[in-house]
Amino acid sequence: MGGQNYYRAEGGFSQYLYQHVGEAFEMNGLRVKIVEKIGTKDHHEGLPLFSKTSDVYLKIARGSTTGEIEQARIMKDRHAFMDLDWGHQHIKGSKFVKGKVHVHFYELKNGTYVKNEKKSRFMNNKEMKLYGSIIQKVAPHAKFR
Amino acid sequence: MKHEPLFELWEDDAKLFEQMKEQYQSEEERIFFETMRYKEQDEPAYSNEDLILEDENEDLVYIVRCSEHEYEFGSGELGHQTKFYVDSLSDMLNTNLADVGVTSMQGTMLDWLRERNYKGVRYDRNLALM
Repeated sequence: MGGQNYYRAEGGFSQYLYQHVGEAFEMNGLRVKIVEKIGTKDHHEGLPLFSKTSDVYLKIARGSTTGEIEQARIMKDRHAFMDLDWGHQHIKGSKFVKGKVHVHFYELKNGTYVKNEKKSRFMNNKEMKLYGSIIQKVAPHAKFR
Repeated sequence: MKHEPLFELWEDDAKLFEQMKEQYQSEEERIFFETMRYKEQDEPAYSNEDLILEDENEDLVYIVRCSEHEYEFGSGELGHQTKFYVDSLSDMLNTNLADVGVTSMQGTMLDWLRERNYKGVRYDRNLALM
């Protein structure tokens, strides 16, 4: 799990920027890991953009002493495919509120993955079925609708 | 060959960048807006970017860019931080900091940055590139 600079087409990375915390687990056929960036404790780090083999990465809220999970990143073909967010409060008129899961998508544009903010929305039934139980396991208070 | 930006600017920020061109108050302000414009168009921060950290200023304010044009900001010591999320630089800079409890100062984030003349802001901490 890491960044573009260390990505190896044949698999893995020349340097790993993240490490997993606690036990990895499998659910609904997906390999799930809680991860943290190595050596950047003072930063507001997000989740990795690339994976080796995992399907879902989970992020611990910064400063949390209880290991509260606030975001999931779904990976597809080793790249971020979708972000599921519920740990932050949008202000200035956004419909997204803290505690309620909303979804962001990445898509290919000119050969590069970019996030399409215009497609951000709440989870649909299919996503709830696939990812809902994972979120419930790590963040029981998160709401889907 | 003309450079095609990777991302189209968010509408509010496109207006902001154009408006600011006419009213920079310092060289540091010009650098801030021109750099942020470049970053929003060509340097996504999918693993976040620390623009200013809470331990780098006396008000304990932090500003983080997420993705292209979304921003997280707040203040306080680790574990006791306020935390807000907005869809654009424009929304963040227009937020009255006292209204959301980020500082006791009556003024916007833009006022706060101007008062310190952008001291502490760094442009080299895109964590996707570190």
